[in-house]
Amino acid sequence: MADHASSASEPEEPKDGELVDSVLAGNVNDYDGLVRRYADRLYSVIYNMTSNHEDTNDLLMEVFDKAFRNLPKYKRNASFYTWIYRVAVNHTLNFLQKRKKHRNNMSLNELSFDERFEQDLKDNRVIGGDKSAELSELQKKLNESLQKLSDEHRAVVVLYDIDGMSHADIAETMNCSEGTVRSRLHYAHKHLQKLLNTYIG
Amino acid sequence: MKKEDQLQQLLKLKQRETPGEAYFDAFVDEFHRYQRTSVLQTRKSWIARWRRALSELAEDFFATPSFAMQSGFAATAVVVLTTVLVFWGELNPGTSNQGSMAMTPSSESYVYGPKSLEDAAGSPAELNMAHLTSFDRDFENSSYVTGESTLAYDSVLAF
Repeated sequence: MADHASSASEPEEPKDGELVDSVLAGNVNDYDGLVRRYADRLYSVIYNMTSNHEDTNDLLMEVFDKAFRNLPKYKRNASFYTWIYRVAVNHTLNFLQKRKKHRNNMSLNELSFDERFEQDLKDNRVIGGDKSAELSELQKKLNESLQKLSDEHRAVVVLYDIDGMSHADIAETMNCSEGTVRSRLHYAHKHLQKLLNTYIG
Repeated sequence: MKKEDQLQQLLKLKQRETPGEAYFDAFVDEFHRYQRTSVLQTRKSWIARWRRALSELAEDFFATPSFAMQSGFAATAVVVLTTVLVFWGELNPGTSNQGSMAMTPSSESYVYGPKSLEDAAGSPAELNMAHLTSFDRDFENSSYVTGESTLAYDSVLAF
């Protein structure tokens, strides 16, 4: 999984490590290649952890900016793939902690803005036009259920079940053991099965 | 199908919850704009932080004047005022009443002690007591019920 991005891309495309070397050598425009490569997957991870498109957009910018500034600290013993995922997951977990504190102070205007933003995204989405009401309802229920998990459990579910990461890569990304990852997954799955019992028979 | 597999199939639906390709096509340009803006913001961030902190403090104080905040503000004002007065007195001893009393006692303010060494050695009758009030004079001539002068108990010679 560590070489996922490089192996999935076309052969002539440079590998992550080559792009990183190039950026560190002063060709900062090559960072765009890394941004294009990971933007959609990191968007998905962050969105499924926050359930908010506006926050996801801001966080994605911040994650790529933070990764760019910290690129000289990137050590080659880990793949760039897990490193940037770690930056994204940690940054999102920090954000979620702060959001919990400020949630009660959130104004109605902010909420309505997010709903409008979400509606815009639905309208522009690839599958948006022909999406049935049933699917929409199911996605809503899925989001609600995911939000009932703790931040760490949700992160593991998002990385494993939605993003398709391996246990080993999740452990490296979240800086914990594989046993912890499996344990969190087991607990989260049991909890989700209870919450989604109307859809799972 | 197992419940576990059914759940994983459901969760796979969330892979489709992303904005369209147009969003990602424009994302790199947006990111460049974000970075340029953040560079500008970093340069003047400390000024902005001070301004924001001050305006928030003022807003909170006037919009929600809680007792604790007002008390804190009053206490701070008192401390600052006291500090300024003390330092002013230290630097300009002649201009402050407190300073003049502490550093250069005037003849009017020093009424109870003898005027000079000669006075101190002389008899009480020789003291100029014209400036004393009647209470002060009674105090000067006070004696205990035994008829002995107060000086007798204060003096080593009494024992």
